[in-house]
Amino acid sequence: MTRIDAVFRKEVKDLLSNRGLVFSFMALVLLFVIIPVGLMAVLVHAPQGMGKEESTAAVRQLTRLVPELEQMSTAQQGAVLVIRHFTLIFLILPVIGALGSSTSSIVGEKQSRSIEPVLATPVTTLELLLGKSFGTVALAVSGTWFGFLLYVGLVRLIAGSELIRVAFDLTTMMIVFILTPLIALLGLGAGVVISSRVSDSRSAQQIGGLLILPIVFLIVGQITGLFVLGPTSIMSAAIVLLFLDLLVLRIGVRLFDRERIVAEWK
Amino acid sequence: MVEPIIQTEGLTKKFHEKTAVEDLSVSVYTGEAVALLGPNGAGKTTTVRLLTCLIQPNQGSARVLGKDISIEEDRQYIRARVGLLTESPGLYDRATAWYNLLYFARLYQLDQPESAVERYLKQLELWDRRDDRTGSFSKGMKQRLAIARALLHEPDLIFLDEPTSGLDPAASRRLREFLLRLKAEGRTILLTTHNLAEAERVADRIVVMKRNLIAVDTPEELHRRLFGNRTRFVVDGISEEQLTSIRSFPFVQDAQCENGELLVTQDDPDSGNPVLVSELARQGAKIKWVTDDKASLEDIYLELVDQGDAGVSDSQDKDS
Repeated sequence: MTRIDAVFRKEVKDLLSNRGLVFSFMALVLLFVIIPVGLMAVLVHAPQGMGKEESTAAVRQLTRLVPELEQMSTAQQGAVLVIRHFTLIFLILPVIGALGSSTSSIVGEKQSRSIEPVLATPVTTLELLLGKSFGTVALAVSGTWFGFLLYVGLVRLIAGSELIRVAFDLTTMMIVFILTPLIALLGLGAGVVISSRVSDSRSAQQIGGLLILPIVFLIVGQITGLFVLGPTSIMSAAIVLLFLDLLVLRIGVRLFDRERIVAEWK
Repeated sequence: MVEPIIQTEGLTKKFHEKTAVEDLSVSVYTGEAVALLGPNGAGKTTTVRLLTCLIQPNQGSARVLGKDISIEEDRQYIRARVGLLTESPGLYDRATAWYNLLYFARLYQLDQPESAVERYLKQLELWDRRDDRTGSFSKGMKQRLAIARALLHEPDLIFLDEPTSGLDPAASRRLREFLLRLKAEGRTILLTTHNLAEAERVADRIVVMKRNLIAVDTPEELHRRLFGNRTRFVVDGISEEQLTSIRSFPFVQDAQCENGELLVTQDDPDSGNPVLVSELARQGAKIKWVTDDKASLEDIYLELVDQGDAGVSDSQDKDS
């Protein structure tokens, strides 16, 4: 077993045993599932008369990407919009999950002073950070994907399979399965960078919370019809994110100053 | 001459403007147990951290296991081959005792991590509690587990930073007995402690430091250097004439009367004592008993720290 694997396994075990962290993250996942599903349920069961109303800018934008929308009533269109817009919320979850886990993992280790014996072993900084990263990202992403699958299941249960086909297309899948791990990595990198500069996990999480702002901008932009994310824009975003991930992780490795951690972290 | 397992030369560590260790030159030899003594803030923990490659010196050099602590490759070599008990046990409280050790056995990439964990849990009498979370452990149990962790990879050189700090007397004793067993196995031990009785029982040599080295030697030699060879003669009343006659012997450096007892400092008590006993008997003194006047390690330590405070630094390293 490599040292990275050893750190990874320990990290997963440690994070899963942190009930507060797991429960708060899973509560957030459930909240992010229940709110859009509830909203969608109201729209799906709205009176048929609503179908005669004019389409909104967001619907008009989305119709270009999803032509099937034109055949639907406004209530159904609204339901599809809600489902698709709230799919973007699943980008917030990995940030929160990875940020919370990484700050808790690194700051937590320095607070419990368990990091010093680890740094006295032959484990290198890169091995330690990779092991921790894989553990943190794996949990944040699997929690998010679990939430998404639950979301899809509930939408299917309430709205039927026809709406599912329109609401969860290639773009949606790319958002969840490509952008989520990349955003989790960014959250993790930010956690490592911030943790190396602050002494408590709460401050680290508050500062790292700023990462959510660009995602909120994406959601608002979609809702207001400012733009609609398609496969091309998702792939472009993925490339930018990958670059940012590597940059932030590189900064994280540099800032993870073993001596400073041992001598100055109290 | 035997190669030292640890050798420092002018080792200096500063944190910003604060000097934690200054110009420390000391050697430790294979198989010996050395106690690093000094008041709080004397730089003991910093010295241990320097030698275990957790931090780097600003000046000076040190070789551990023949490797240079300033070279990254050597630092990896040292980390893989020394054991460290940190000042705080630093265990994962939510993990079991078994997993706490298994994680480190994997970090050291042991061939058979499980059997190493089992061996040390049994040796440290924690086998029955292996599946309990360490958060529920007493301080003594945590300390024993942390020692097991430091020994998993069978290091020849072990650093113990305050091993009995905060332990009750029974737990301290248990731990001390274990340290003596390690010493008997031929392992080299460097321990920092405020517990002078522990240092006296475990250590072959004492290093007293306060940022820099104040003294290093065996307790007996330090005693001789500080207080000389003193013999206490308990006599039924001693006259000024008797005192003068004792002082007249050329091998007697000093003779004092203290609470009715005669304290004689001399070069070689083995040859001097019979002469002095005969002289006192010849003068009709009633001698009740004669004994070495051995100062405690506490006396020695306090005297050395006082000397260090006064700037009287006797920083010579004894190359035995």
